[in-house]
Amino acid sequence: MTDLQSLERGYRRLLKLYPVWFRKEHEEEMIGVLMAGAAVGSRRPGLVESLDLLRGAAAMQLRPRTATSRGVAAAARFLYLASFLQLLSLLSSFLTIASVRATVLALNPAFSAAQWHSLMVSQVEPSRIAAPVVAFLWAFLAWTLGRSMRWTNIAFAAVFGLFTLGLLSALGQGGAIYATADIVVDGLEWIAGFLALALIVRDATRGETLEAPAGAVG
Amino acid sequence: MNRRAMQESSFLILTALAAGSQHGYGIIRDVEGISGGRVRLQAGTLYTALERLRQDGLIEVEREEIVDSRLRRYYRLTTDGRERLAEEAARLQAHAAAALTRLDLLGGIVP
Repeated sequence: MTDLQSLERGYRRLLKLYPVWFRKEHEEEMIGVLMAGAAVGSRRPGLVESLDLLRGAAAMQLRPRTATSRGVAAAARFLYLASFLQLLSLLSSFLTIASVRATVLALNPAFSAAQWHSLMVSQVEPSRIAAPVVAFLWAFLAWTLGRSMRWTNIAFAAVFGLFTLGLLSALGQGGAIYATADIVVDGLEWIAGFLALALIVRDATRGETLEAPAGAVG
Repeated sequence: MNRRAMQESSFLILTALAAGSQHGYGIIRDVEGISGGRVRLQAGTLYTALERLRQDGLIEVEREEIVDSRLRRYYRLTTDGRERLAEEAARLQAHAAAALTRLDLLGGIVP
């Protein structure tokens, strides 16, 4: 295989990460541009252009596929934010567990090691397992919002309802006292979800017609 | 109507197309020239921006051709794109003029 063939294969491998519709439209054209701009003798894509293609692929995968109202586009952004916050909450759970235990022991000196173990198994560990799933759900719902799938609103309302119940349960068990940082992140996540819900409901009740996001250049 | 400021890459792409239609690699080279070599668009950034500009109705495909068995697609500004670029250029010019005037008043740092 020649250097050029090897280079082109490398570019095509990266372009496979773009959505099918985008590849149909632009793959051959992009290959032409990438090959024209490649340094003489290159056998594989450079690091900077590879990262740029990865970023472009992510942007194209995440951006609304169908024309959406501004409200729905903003709701999708809030859901991506909620997804990020859920992952942050997971990180926070690992980073703050020692201080949570110290607070629990300070406020309840009789709290035994067995009780702590039971708390970890019944609450902390399940929430850590659930966190990536919830983050995926938020991101997936944001992705589907941009594709005008009818069931999205119902699925979103259900996930938001479950998340709200989980947050209320954590608050009821003293989460605000024992795990303040986690609850703050969860609270921000709830606000992002609520804003997304409000925007979706507003659009639905207004019966807003779908239109391309005007003035959204940039 | 208040619009969000345009990203620099979008502004430079529209500027490159203001003089006439160009294909992807031509835009990259022209943008590099316009920016004095400071901005070299990567292909991923270019096509993300072109797709967005096209969806917003600011550019359109003028024609396609095959050169050395590679597809070349030429893009051009639409009327909306021309208006939007003029609007953004005027906004930037007004801001730059204000900055230069104030710098001049404060002791002549203007080059």
